[in-house]
Amino acid sequence: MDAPIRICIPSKGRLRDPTVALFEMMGFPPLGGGRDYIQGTTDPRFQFIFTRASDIPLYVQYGAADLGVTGHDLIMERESEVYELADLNYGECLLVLAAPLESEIRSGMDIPDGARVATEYPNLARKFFDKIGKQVEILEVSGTAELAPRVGLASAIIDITTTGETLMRNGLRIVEEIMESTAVIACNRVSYKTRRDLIEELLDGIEAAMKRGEPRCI
Amino acid sequence: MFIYLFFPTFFPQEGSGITKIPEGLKDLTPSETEKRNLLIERFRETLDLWGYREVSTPTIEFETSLSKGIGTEMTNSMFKLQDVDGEVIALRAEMTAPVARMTSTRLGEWHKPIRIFYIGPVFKRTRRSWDDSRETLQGGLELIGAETPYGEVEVLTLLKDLLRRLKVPEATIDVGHSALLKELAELFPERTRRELMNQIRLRDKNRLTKLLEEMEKPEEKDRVKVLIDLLETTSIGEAASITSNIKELKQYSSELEEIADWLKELGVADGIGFDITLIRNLEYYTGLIFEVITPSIGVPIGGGGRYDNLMEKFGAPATKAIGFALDMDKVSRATGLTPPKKVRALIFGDPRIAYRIGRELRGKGIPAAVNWGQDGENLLGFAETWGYTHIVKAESVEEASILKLGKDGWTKLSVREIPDEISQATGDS
Repeated sequence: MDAPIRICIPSKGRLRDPTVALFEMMGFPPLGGGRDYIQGTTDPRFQFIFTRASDIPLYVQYGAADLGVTGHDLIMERESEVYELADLNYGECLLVLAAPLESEIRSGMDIPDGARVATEYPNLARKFFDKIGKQVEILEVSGTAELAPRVGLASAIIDITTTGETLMRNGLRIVEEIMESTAVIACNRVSYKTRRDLIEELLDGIEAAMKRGEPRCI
Repeated sequence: MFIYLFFPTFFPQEGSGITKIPEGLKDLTPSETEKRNLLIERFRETLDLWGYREVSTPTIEFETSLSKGIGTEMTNSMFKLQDVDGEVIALRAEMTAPVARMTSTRLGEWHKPIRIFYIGPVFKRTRRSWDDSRETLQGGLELIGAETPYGEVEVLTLLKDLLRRLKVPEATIDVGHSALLKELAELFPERTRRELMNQIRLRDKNRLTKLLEEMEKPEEKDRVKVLIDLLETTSIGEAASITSNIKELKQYSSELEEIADWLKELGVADGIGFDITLIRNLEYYTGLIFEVITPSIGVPIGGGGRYDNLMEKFGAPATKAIGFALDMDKVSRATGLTPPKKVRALIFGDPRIAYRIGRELRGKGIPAAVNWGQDGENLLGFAETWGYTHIVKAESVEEASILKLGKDGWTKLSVREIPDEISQATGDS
């Protein structure tokens, strides 16, 4: 028998639960302890790999997995050469430029040249500022970017937001929307050709499950 | 592993800095090297059979010359250094530009088409740690002075034959067209162009369909439909007919049609498909582009395409050309080829006699090594680890004992009989 189709699922974060719920609805619950990184399912043709959502674009690009559920934003940030075969319609978020409520910044153009901008998305941030012709210093952080302006580390941040609540709690407001994102099915370019039938079958299953009811457990 | 068991003292303590090599580079053990050499040998044999001649260019050249036509991304990825006179020199990141330089300066007067091939390392300063190779062995060819479709047909047919001879399992070739895609993009207004190309790259049919619904002008709708149809098709002939109704694409459409017809005519169309999402990150491509995939490797193992404007950049008259390169390290991971087991003799005992036997064996073309001061169990493990097929004990000037690995018991023979006894084994392994 051929090796199982390996599907990467976020091991934590806001995409994890709805993704597990989606596969459960399809009748493919991950079988195994909560801490197992690799888990089988009821259908031996599939296997799940649990890993960080931000690493999934790379797992899929280099063929460590055939498919992966991750954010469109993360694929764009990593400039990952993968296919996006389906939009899962959950995990919606916006990548935004946000600045302190009391600041004068009303748009990207208001940020003074040379100012520091904290972000988990250095690549997309750089592209955004290149596009509007601003020279800023990008500070790459690996979480809680919203803290940076409060402690004087940065004048603004580029981060994702779903409801805007966290931004507000940290005294920040959205000044520009950069990109919309949702959870998507990423596919390895080689697997798409060599395992096409099985991948199409899985995608049909996903589509049917999504029609029955959107898995929203955010 | 075996070696570690026998000679633990060879291995320095973990964590000592001098034992590391920089990320993305690797050492090859004897068996890995033999496998690679076998592939190189097969590669040379095949290219020779097709009438190609081997060339070699320096690993280091002027950056200005290496970067001609390859684009910013590739240029940025080169390892660069400063020469004694201040000139910037660099390690080659790919082979087509250096070979084009060499051809235009050294082979300019030669009759066309020029059929040449090369095998050598290329280097890339990758930032992404997942890209596992900063040094890759590339084997490739250039067919310089060949028009469409003749160049494409020769190169694709040859590539298929090469993949078969290199035993790459279930290898397929995907074909795209860089000029067709570029021209198609130009048909859309600038504001949507980038987004559209992104969707093609991601094979994102949902967003394309959404875009189709948003388009108001019927001709724009038609063009998005063409994009969606191109995403769906895996046949070169079908791609030709999908694009045949757009006058700006007519030229490429007939090119694809001709190529598809010829591949069919020659019986090699099987395993060569169309893929509009194919984008090669080298700027010099002007026409047909292609990539090779095999199921066990998650990324393409090679690729190439037509580059009709590169030769001019080196001062040669405009010359149409096409070529490809295979990543031989990835081919080595995928291949079903294994080096044939070779007869090898390990001799011990009285060194004077052992050396005499060794000389005689080598004279007959049998690899032979002499181990001083070792015998018994120790030697058996040694022979297994290092791939010896026979152990010879030099007993006296007249007599020796021989053990064939995997068989029980020693056979006593006269020293003169040893070479024949061992060379006979060539047949039964």
